[in-house]
Amino acid sequence: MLINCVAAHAVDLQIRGFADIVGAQTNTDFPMNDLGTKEKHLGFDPESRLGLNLSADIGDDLVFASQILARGSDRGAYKLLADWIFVTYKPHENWNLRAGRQISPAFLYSEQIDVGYTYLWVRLPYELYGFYPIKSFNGASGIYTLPVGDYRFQAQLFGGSGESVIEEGSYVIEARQTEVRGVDFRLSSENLKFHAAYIAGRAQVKLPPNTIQDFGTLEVLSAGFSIDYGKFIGVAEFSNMISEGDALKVVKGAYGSIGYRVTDKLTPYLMYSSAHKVNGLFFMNPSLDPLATPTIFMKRQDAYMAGLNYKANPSLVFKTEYMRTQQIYEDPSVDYGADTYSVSMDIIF
Amino acid sequence: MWQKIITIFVFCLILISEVQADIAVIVNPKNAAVWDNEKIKNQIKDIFLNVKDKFPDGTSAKPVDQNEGRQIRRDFYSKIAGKDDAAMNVYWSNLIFTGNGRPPKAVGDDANVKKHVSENANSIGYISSELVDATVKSIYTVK
Repeated sequence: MLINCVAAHAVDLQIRGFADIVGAQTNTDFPMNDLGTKEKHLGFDPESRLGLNLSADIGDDLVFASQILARGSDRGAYKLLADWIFVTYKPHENWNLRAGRQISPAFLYSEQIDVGYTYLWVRLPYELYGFYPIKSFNGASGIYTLPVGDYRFQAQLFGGSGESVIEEGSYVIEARQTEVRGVDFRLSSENLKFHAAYIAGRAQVKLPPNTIQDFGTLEVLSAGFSIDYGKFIGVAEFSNMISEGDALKVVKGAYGSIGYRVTDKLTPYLMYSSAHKVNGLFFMNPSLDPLATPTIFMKRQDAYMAGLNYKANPSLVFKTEYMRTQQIYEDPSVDYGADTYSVSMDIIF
Repeated sequence: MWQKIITIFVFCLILISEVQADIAVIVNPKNAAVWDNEKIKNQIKDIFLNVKDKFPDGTSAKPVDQNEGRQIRRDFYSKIAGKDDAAMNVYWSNLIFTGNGRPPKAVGDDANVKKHVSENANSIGYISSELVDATVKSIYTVK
């Protein structure tokens, strides 16, 4: 459904929306990834979200766009936030200038991370998308777009700063990003998408109760592609995060996924995802007291997924997924694994 | 009895011919853009899929859609872009929910689109070809 409102002064407003109802049951004893706290029963709160997308055409060259997100938490209440909100000015057919709060385009699906309808899986792999601390920024960007035959090339140059709050189970993590700058390249066609990005910024994360992880200058280099050809779907991405600070030195992450359309509606898929440190510190096991045991750090996290994607109608997708996550620590006695069963219903309207 | 069967048969033929009627892509009569006969289908597709926002003469192009669920809309995107409803939803979701684009404004049925295009110099729309008259200019027929 599309709602069009045309006011007397010719502002053309379009309203769209999406809803992702995500349920997960896991056997973790502690908050793991974004799955909430001790969801040993089927829980729908931590990952479910509703989005309202507003777009207003203000004359020929100016567009206001905003996405309001209501996100669940494992504490039950939904929180409202402006996912992104910006104004785009188009001085030339190939150029867009954008100012406001924007999603950091670090990865192939970063800008649509909350819209499950647009990707195959229940959730994007935490080993890339979850470990990256610069989610969004307030600032400006210039976007150059050029159609080349059947392809569309896009280059984006951006900069700014921002703050975000990430809830990890009972933890509330405050992330602060300054001096964010980067460049993002995309080449897309009907069946293929390539993406490469370089982003740098100063990042600081405040962990409860009062631990500050200073990433210093964090640099992220990422590349990925997706192919959707006939019955086959393939996606792969990798990232390399380097930090000068005291919290992390180098973390490499990658995932690969394949899907096969059995029918127009049903697509089974598999995914393997991994993140590992090359040196320096990494995430610690949250079941351990971060202050009492500061020397026990994770070396690697792997995830294996198998799932089904069922497109019930053009606006509604059901998904079900099994995921095995394995965390390997410098002290093998605290190695940990967890199984997660998920279902989701993704709607656009 | 046979007369009734023949009547029903003819009625069905008329219905089928209406469903499969050609689609005319229309612009305002004042629109002076010159289209390349070999590229026109792709040029129209680019305008309706938010790839281009200008006519070939460089003037601003404002595409308008028929309402969701209408058969002519399905036929248009199927023939001009090779996409069914589900593929169109995926296409627009990737643009809308990232803030990178928005679909043409849906203004109603054939009559609404024709009226809108006839009243707005920068508009481009599509209607059943048999409804084209002097109030609009047909630039391409989707068969």
